Amino acid sequence: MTKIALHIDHIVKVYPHRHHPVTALKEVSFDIHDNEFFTLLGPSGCGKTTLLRIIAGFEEITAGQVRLYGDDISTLAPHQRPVNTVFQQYALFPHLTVADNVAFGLKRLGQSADEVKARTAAMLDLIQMTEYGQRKPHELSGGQQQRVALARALAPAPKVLLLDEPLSALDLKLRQAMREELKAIQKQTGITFVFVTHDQEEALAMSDRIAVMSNGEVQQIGSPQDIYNNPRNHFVANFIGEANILDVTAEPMRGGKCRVKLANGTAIPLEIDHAIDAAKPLSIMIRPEHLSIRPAGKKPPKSALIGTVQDLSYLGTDTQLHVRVDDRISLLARVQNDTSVEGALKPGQSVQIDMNLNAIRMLDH
Amino acid sequence: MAGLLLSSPANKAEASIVEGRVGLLLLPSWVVIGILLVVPVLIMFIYSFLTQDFRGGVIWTFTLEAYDQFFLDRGLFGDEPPQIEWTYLLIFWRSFIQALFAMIFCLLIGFPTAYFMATSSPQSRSMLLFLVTIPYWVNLLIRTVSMKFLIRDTGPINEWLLAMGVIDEPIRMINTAFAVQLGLFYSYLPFMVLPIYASIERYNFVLSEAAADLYTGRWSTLFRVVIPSVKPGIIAGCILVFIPSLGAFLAPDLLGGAKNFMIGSLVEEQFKGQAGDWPFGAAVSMILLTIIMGILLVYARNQTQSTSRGH
Repeated sequence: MTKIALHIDHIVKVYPHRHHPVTALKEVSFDIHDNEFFTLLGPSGCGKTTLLRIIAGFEEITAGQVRLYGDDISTLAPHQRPVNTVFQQYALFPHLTVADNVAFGLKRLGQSADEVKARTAAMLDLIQMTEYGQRKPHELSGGQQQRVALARALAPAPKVLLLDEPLSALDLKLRQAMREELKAIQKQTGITFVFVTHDQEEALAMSDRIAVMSNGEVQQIGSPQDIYNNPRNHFVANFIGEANILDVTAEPMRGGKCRVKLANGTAIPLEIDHAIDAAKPLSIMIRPEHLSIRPAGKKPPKSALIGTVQDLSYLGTDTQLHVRVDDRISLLARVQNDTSVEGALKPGQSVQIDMNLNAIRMLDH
Repeated sequence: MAGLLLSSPANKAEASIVEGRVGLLLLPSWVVIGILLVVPVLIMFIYSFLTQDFRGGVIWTFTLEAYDQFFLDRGLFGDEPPQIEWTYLLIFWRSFIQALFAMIFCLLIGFPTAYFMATSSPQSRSMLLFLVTIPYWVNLLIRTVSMKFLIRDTGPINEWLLAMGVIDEPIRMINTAFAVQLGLFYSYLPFMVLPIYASIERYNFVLSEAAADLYTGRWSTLFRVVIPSVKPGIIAGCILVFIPSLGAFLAPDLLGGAKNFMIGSLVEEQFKGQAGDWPFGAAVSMILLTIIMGILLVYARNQTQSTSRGH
């Protein structure tokens, strides 16, 4: 069994504003494994940063417990917790050199001068900034400051490293390069990373596991593939990637199959893995890349879904199009630009839409 | 930035025109600086080398008499071999000590005050700022006189303590160095609070969190991170308290009595009434000015060194 690094146990956080207390976290519970790159993903205000600050010790918990390798750290002050943070705006000490910034935590831990020197040099080497040791933070670029912040937090060899949207202030190219570097450093050091972001692409690219959060609750936890391919509910399906979500009515059939009907009456046979309650409102989700589009023939089969192309946008490798079926159903589709189809599509054209049935997912409301 | 753009060869001609215009636009400030700063100091400098007239004023004969009087003691009739004159040096020394202590006390009280103000909610911040500046709506003379009434032997503090039975006879506060110190502290405290407040307000408190995250306790964070970050504000506050304290004359005059004579009073006396000695007053002022300039230059040099070290 994998070792558990952090155990988040029924954590509640309420900000006691005088007139209307705000609940930032509603009984959040999950485990973060040892040596894992774990991401808290969600829109702003979902509670992900609050949770990170609770782990670091900057926020008090209203109820619940944080356990670090079995020890309850909920009541410890930030400086007593063996975790370190990489802050969003780096928060490097402006009056200290790069080397002194990296050495800061080591000195406070009471390490000997030799130890501090060796560890600082090793950290500067890790981020490939050895020759920048004597510079001041304001003399560095954003990306360099970011790396120094990382080195400073890694230097005391924390049991868990917390990263609060550390890439959000960087430009796109640098952000993508830093993703790979962060991932590599995590593997190299073997330290558990807890990474907070609102950028789903970032989360998918780097994480071993992702917890998708919204409204102070964890919506789903899983590997990037799991979260993308099998979103559990509306929120996750919408937040991660792009999705067509269609309301359906279902009629169960025998042998784990069922038939769902779209709003326009089109019937789709589905395999399902859990019992469904046909009385409840249901919906299905299909990703744009799992729709195939071709110009409609003269006599399309009765069961086929026929729509009109509303608009096309060229995205380089793909072309994205909106297809309107009727007043209630409008679909987002994506066709690869190396196929013969894409050149033949024009706005106003009638097209036949085929769904990859294996890619359709049933969603909870 | 603009300078960089203009210095390219194609723009050189244009640059000199612009520079000329900029010079012209700066003329009013040069005039103001000239009239209010350079000319008065120059007048004082010249006066300090002139001869004293009998009833104030000067006679236009060059002499080093004023400086001689300050530094050298030639006996009662001026015919003994010159020795070092300690009277005025002692006044200078006393003034420096008083100003230094006023600065230290203002810093010790002013820093926590400024920190508290800068960390309270934005609404109460402007209220507190207003409160700090309120005493300045009352003339310094009136405030100093009021202080005198408060601390005299029959003032409310002593009477209250006597009535409470804490003391048997009034505590002697008026006409002591303590009274001068109290006066200076009270007069110049806001000059310490305001610049420190301004720099703490700009301080990024995430730095304190970062320090806590890196195993640093509260006090250590204060001394290792907060104070170094707001150092410019602290230095500005210290200068703003130290320098006027050095030349202050109201507090020493009204609260200190004859034993606690300071530079300000010495200068004031030379220009007040008919017994004054204008060249001597000017000379004392010039000596004080030179010392202050010296201190500021040393500070400025240290400052540029510490900022250029990183480059």
